[in-house]
Amino acid sequence: MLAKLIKYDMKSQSKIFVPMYIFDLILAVFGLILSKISHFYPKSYIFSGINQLFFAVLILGLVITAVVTLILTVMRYRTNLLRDEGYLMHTLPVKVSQLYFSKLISSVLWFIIDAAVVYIVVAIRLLDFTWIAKFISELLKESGNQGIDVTVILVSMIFYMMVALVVSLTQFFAALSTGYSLNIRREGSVNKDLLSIIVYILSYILIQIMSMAGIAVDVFIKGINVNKAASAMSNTEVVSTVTGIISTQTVILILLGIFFAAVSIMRMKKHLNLE
Amino acid sequence: MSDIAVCKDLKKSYGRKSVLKGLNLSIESGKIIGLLGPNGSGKTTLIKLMSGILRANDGEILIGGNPVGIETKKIVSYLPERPYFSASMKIDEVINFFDDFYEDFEKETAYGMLEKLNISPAARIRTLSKGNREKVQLILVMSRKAKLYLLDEPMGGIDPAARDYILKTILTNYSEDSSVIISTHLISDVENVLDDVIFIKDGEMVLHKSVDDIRMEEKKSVDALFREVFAC
Repeated sequence: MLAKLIKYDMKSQSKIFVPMYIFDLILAVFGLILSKISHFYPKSYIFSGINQLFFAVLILGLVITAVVTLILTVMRYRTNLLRDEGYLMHTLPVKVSQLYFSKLISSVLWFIIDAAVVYIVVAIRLLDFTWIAKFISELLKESGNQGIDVTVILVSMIFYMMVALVVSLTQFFAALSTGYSLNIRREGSVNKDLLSIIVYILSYILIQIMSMAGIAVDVFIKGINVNKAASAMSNTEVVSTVTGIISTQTVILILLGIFFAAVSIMRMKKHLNLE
Repeated sequence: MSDIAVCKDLKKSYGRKSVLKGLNLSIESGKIIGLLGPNGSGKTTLIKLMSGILRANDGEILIGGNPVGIETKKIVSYLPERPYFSASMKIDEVINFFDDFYEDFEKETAYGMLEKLNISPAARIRTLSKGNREKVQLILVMSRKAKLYLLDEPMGGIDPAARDYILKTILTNYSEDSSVIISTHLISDVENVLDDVIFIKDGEMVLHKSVDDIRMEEKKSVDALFREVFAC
């Protein structure tokens, strides 16, 4: 059943995402053509200006794609599970947890596809499909010249960013699930979106508190010296300090993500009130 | 006849407002039952509890011998009073969706009913009129061979001819070992198709009788009795 739910989520959202990706790819192709044409006119300010403008438009397009992905995946959760479509979804013979995870998994899949589109767009623009390998190789070489092996730091940062993405989705979903299921007594109707925003702000404060608690754990329990300048540290010290902090923050995020997911599922299971 | 659904001491509150106050009721298999009551009496809340959209604060609901959950959702077909399909979906996409999730869904029945109404399965939900949207929703719900149909205001806000069609659809598509619960204010329209009626007032059941018994004993129609019981 989970696979079916994911299938329908992806199908529904593909109506918007696919045209958006096609647009990004078209921008990349146009950008490539412009860049090739401008090579024939190296002294032309107009072509150079248009080329740079188009490159900026391309980057803006990719940023907008990422933002739109976040907005649409969060809105999908709200519309499909907490508003009128919820009458259909919550009467399907599936578990509430399956409804939740289908939204989370399909959202993550769209972000992965986003990343793939970014890779392809840049590759088309540069006419080089090995650009990312070259970029990483340059980065490692540069940091190696500085005497620091950043491989472990890079891997732990990428993992941290992936976890942060998933947890940010669980945070949005928890805010919506809570805002839409709170039973606030007052005259007139209560704006559930406003309640969700308030819950989101509170969850953001919680994340900050937990993050600071993580730093405290690093300093007082793991003995990491956050006051020592990087220039005064050995290569090993730099790597272990940075990865130590990142790993603590990653664990905190994972725990928060589990908490937010549990809140969402519990609120929908026990306190759902579609109107 | 066995009971398809049983509610025992059912209680539901929204904050401090108590909507159902210890409701006890049994629904026999093979009956069409009118769930009648004024606005705010608890009809929709009861239907939502039976469909699994809401959780009771206390008490129990058993459908087909099971508490409300995945197993009951397999045998309960629910029509809410609100539009609940994504407006961007095409009708055949919704049909495929139902077919994918419900084992008892009959695609041919759904397509047959759409054809009779001259509604194209390729049409998007957002392009349909209010009346046609209600009909499409009802067609999808009644194309399932469920054991219990919960229809919440299936005829609200549509013309008399469409109401007749909806009643005809209900009668011709439910199987005789299933039960249908219709919550409605349009009593005179549905009275002739009902086997039993349940009157709910302030979250409590005040009457559960067959339509024939009401006519024989009270010497009046269900509509007239309703007006008497719920007079303002």
